[in-house]
Amino acid sequence: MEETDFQAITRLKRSDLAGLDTLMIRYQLRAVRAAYLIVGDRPLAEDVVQDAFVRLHQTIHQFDEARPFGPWFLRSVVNDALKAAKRQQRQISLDEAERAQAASLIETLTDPHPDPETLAVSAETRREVWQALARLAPEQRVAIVQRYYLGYSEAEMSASLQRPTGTIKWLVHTARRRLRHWLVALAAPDSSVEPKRGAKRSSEP
Amino acid sequence: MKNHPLTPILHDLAEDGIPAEVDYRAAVRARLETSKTHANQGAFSMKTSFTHPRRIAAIAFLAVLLLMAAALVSTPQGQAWAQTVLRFFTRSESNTHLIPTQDPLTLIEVSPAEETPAQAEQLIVTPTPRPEALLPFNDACGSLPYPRCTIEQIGKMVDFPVKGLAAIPEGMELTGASGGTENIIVMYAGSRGALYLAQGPAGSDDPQLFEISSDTLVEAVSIGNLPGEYIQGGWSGLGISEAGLVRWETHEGIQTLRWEQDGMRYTLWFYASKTGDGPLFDKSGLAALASQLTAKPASSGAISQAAYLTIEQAATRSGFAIVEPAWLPAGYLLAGATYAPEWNGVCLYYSYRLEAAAPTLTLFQSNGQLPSVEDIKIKQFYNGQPIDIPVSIAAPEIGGVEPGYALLASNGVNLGAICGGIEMTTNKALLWRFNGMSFVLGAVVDNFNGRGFLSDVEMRRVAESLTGVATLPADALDPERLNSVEVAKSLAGFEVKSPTLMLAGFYFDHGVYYPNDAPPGFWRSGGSEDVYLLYLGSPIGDGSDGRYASIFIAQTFAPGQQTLDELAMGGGYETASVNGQAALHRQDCWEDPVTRTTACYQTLTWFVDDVRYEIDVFLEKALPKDMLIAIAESMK
Repeated sequence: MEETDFQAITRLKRSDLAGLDTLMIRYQLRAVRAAYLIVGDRPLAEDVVQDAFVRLHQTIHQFDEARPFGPWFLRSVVNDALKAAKRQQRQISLDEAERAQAASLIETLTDPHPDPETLAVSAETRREVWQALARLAPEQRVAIVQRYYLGYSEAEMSASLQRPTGTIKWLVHTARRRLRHWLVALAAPDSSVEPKRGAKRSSEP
Repeated sequence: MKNHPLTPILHDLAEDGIPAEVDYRAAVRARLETSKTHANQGAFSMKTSFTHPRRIAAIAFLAVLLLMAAALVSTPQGQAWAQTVLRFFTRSESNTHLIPTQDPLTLIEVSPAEETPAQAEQLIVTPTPRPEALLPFNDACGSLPYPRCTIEQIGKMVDFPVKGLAAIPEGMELTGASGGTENIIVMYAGSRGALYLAQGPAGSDDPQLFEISSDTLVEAVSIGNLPGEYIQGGWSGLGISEAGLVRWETHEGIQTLRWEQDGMRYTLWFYASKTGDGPLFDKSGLAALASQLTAKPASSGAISQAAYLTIEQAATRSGFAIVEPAWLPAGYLLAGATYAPEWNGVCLYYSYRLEAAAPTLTLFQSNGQLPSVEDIKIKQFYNGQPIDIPVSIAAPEIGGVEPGYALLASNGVNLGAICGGIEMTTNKALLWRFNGMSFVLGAVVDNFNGRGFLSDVEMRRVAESLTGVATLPADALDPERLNSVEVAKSLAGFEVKSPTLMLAGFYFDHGVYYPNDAPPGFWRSGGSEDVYLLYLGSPIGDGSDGRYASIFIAQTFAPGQQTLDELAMGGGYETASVNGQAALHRQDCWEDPVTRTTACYQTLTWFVDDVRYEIDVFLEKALPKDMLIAIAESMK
């Protein structure tokens, strides 16, 4: 039977590295992918995650195994990735050729009821989102990754980032808005294109 | 559950960048081996490079302390000592306990068309604080979190020697001191958070005693050659469903160090800043602070409110006549003025409802140039890197100002930079020129906790009361401060509900309406139609920080924006039912070891016909879930 997190942590607390192996097998991929989306650089993301596991080994005695391990560990990785991203402050420039795909992408990203075909996004689309993501401030990038990749709720983001829920709402919103802004900028350099808003309710009663 | 369009794209991007086959086990094991080798060689390595000589010395000092402490607790003897023979803490038999429920709690029937009482300001202008929330020296020195005596002043009020920090940590300043004849507390605060130093004669009843859980890790610490004990965390109940249940949470954001010296007992608490804009202390850092206590402490920094000038004194220094607004929202009281020579500016501070509360409205005026938004933008750093806090800027028309409009900057601003460096709570500002003078009005956004805030309409009214050119009718609707539930209902395009059962002692304070196309704000993402209703009770604690027990009801029409399933993914919720609709309930309670106060935040969320209903309750103690559901089910 597969070892539970609780059993793995108990073993690790007894300095049995097999416990660490179990946790790494279970969480390393999700952790490094989250870190990668935040720092935008694979070697750096791998460094962040490996550091997190080394630190986990050193501080595991402080962890209360009654608490869920996964969210706790991912929170730690995301915070480390945020620090790394702030040190790194990526800058990526966009060129004219990238603007063509952006307008439809804006609609995709702002449509709350996308159809399945729309969701099957192309490699071009992914590349544009990647570049727009890179233009966000690191904290906004974390907000996007936590909300839309890790699937955190605002409450969980609030706990993770130690910010009030209101701040989280604002952070997610501004991140989304800036993301849209960069994609709009891609599509229309003169900023004349307004992104399509989410479905508005009819004013009819 | 519906996915946001970004979700699959992010998953694709992550899979493109990181293949599923990655495995770092060997690399991590190699790193562990390397770190073991370094530890055996006695190396103290840090990734961050420090070049400043004082920092190197400090790091070296901390390293020695760290190694000493690590040696102590890493030996079997050290750990046994740390875990079993507690000198300065007591253990409870469990890692949970109950905060009592709020008492008395009674639900009464109210009209679904509640209006703000005409006498609302008078209702709570002079609250009666709970006596246990006040420190004995409250009259002379205030209570936490706004103690206002100097260390020298409080030293004359007690029969024991009072000590403070020989050097105040960078980014912090002395806030003040207060306490009683047996125990006093000196408070320091700043961007890193707050330090509280409690001190009193050892041997008597221990007012600093803090009960810890059955499994809290207590670490031995050396303070000079004295033994001390160090813990991290506190009692909190984040996401525990049982009303009032709290458990011990280990967290580096709350650290406690206790020790005795020369017949005196000391407790040093560190509360990290929630904005994360300063480095944390750690066990060694706190021990280093503890080892430098002195009877002749540093006293840099402003003691709150002691620095205020009268308007006349400020006018003398500035050389120009100071004007006061002819109109302010009800409840604001002038606290005092300061003079900022670099701007030849004067700042007037107004507190809301309670004179002891920190000012929430500031008016800067100068005969010099108008400060720019950049001048008042918050400068924050994290790990040495500047943090960009976005500022929203608008240009509203204001009667009488030059050239007809002002600049309204929201979020990420603070008037501290142009008011002599005094930190304030303001986070929105209106800047304008009039009659050869420059003005900046600072206020706070509505946090729905009862503290003073200014709506955009009110900021305009204040400005126009200074220019004398009123452009708004006296009865103009203010969507950010609606004084009637019925008005909120009439504005919204969806069916707004209001409770017909409410906790006794609570009254309708105000409502807020945001149409679908309103710009996003601190509390809302935009793209939704929102109605907020705020009901207030009594002040929390001694009332000095201006917060009130509150019941906040948010109603959001935003089809497809969020589902209950998405919310539940955050964890910590339990399922509930509101009139047969699935709902989620969550409660977070916590205890403050310094002030000995408790607080509970509860939330109940459900959806009906694409409207999201959320009731947030903030009380000093827990509200039974069935009472919260009763309020929810009474909404009509």
